[in-house]
Amino acid sequence: LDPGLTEFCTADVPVPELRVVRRKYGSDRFLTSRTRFFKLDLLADEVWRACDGRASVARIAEQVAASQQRPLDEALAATILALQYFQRYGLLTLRAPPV
Amino acid sequence: MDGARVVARASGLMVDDLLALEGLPSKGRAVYVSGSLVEGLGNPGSDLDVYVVGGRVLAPTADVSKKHYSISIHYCADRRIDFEYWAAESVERIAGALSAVKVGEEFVADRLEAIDEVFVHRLLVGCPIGDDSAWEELRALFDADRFRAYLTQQAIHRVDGAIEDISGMVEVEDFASVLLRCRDVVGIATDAYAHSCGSTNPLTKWRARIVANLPQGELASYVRERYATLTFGAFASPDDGDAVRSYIEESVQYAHRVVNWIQG
Repeated sequence: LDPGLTEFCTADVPVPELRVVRRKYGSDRFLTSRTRFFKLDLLADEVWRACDGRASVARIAEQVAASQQRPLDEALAATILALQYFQRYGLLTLRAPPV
Repeated sequence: MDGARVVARASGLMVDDLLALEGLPSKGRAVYVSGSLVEGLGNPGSDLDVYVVGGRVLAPTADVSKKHYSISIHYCADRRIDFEYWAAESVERIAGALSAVKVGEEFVADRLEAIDEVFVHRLLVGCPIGDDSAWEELRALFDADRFRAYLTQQAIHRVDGAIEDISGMVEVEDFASVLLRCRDVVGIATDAYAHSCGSTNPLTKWRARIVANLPQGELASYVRERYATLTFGAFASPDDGDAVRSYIEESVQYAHRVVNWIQG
């Protein structure tokens, strides 16, 4: 068993790293960070595009819920999962909201 | 726009008199006027560009000889008139290079030389004043949609390069360089947007005018406002770290938003 615990504050703001760019090649979408490439599925792409350095995690999840027509809790779980991947690969950082 | 009217407005000459300056026959070669005066971007100091394409013979009395073309210069009613002579082989080379570009499938930047891009643009916006059928034949060699897509993709590649530079400069806190590169990225992203909206003009000197004339569109107001603010607004001092960071963030965010909009 390997339980893990990750704290996610829904008020936090995901801020993409400066060097990361999202590009479309054919019908596929990628994030590139110098020599690394990450292929995005549609949901991850939607989460990434919502990360404009201003929207909070909660706001992004609302956008995902609306566009995917899914319940908010489900959209929030998916959003957090995508953000965890982005964070793990150093593609963005989470910042506390401005006071 | 009608070629004869452009000629008359710019030089006060009739088309036949203009052609007579160079002893050009009215048939057998594609002859067209182009450049800023045709596009409505010019001013009293702008040249009238007359393109003469076809045959192997370059300008009979060339004042300027370049790698792929030569120019013969005249002055009429305070207007400089440049006759640009392009050989058929040079034009076929450009058409071949453009046809070979596979936008969206490969790295396309710099597949055409800068002067070749200007040539294609000037052909696409030009007005024939000589042999219409020769001009139409020449025009048919160039796919305008492919050229627009190429210019758009090339600008996106350049945005990517600029963002790479910016992130590296930020890492070593080279703030003076990063400010200039941020201004570049704003301009290049703006070019990408303008090309995606139909502009084929590759000349940076007209960027502000092109932005002012952008067609109404989903992002046009945003592009106009951000371009103006980030280009002409207060420029941060390299010594003011917070202001520099804020300018970087806004510039890069603008570039990302524009490219994301273009690519969908």
